[in-house]
Amino acid sequence: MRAARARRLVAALAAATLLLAGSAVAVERYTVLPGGDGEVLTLLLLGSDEGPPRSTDITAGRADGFQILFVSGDRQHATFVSVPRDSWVSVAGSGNGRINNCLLGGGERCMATVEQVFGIEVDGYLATSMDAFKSAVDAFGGVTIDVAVPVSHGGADITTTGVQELTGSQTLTYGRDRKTRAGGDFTRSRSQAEILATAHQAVVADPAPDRILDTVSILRRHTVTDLTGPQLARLGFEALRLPPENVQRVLAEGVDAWVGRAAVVKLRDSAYATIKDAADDAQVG
Amino acid sequence: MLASVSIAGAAFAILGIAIGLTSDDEGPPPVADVSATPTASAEPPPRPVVEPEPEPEPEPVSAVLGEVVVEDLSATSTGLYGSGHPGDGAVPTDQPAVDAFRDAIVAAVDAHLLDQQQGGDGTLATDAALPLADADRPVGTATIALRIGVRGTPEWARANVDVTLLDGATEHTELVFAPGEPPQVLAVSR
Repeated sequence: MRAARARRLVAALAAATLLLAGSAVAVERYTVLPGGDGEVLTLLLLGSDEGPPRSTDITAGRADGFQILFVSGDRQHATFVSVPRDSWVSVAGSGNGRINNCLLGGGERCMATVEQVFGIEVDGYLATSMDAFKSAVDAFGGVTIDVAVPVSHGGADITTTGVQELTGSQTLTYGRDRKTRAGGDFTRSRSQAEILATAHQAVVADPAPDRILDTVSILRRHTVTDLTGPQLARLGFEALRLPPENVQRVLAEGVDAWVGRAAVVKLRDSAYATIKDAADDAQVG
Repeated sequence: MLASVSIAGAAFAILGIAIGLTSDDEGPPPVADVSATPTASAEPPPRPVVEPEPEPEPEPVSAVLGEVVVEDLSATSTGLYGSGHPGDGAVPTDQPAVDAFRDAIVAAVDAHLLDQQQGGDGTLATDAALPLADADRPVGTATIALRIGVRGTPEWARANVDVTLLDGATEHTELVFAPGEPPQVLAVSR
């Protein structure tokens, strides 16, 4: 009896040692349970400017990064709709203004604004700050981007073109710059979606379980969200189902305009139609 | 086949008659008052009833807890909040909740293994089969290594489950749990 116990103990210790040595099998396929409810998932992904001067409170700032992510019920398709931060809309609870003002009332107010302006349901939001964004990208290991033209903004310049791995600071520059590239705010919005889609590609390309949970942890620690920890974990694994080639990136189209002395963007009718279309099945067109 | 059975039956019948005759003619004198128990001496003493050996119960599975890594998911020092902002402080860990989650996961895996080695399909709610053992291949050892994400209370756990069966085969799976009673399986490796 004692010998049997000893054998079991040795076997258990051996197994534990193997695990500690990191030799656990890297499993490439996960089944997420229970299956999806078939409904499109709609999330707001917001980047706060933290207000001038930097208030260290992300909901004291404006949402200069403004993406609406639609994911189909079967998690096989997704669309990022990039909304220019200067889009002139009716902000929930505060009248007409730039859409980025909604974050001054918290992520929930941004959800209410989007629901009211575009007539869609929003399931949740994630908001981050500039410092947290940089920190998150660095924790993620950088982001690989094909840079078309050199970009500069606030010091962390990207001086070369072509495919390259950007640091957190450079990625923030890539997502913020609206002056050194043509297209201004529209180009910036597109770049933000490009960064997010690229991060998704990286997760799918390296689906080791700890890598997924690392990403979930990064999201949790670097964002303010109304999603629960288990919901984020589920989304992390559901992201593996989504083929990167099925991720669309579209821009909510608009035209530059003035309201008094404020430079704004007036969204075209096509922008409203695009968002309604994406809300239907997470695909545009 | 039928013929051989018939022949055997006839042989037993003849043998029975022969025994009966022998008993009547050549039996030893009774040693007790047979009037009180007229048939007792004529029948063989009852044989002790031999109960069939009970099926051995599968041994309860007792998974060994391997490495447990608790990961703090607080936003501290991530830049989400500035230094000194209340949001930047670490969220105190509810250790009893973490311990209870850990124990509940081990118990859930134990129950799954025990059910399978008793011939069941397992008790973990995984939509699809998660075969780690069966009635013909009981568990020798099982080790569970946990990584638990905690922000005050547990938010998720990844369980690396390694099973060595008594026949020497090994099974491995990874499960991601969310807190619940019992813990809910979020994802399972295939």
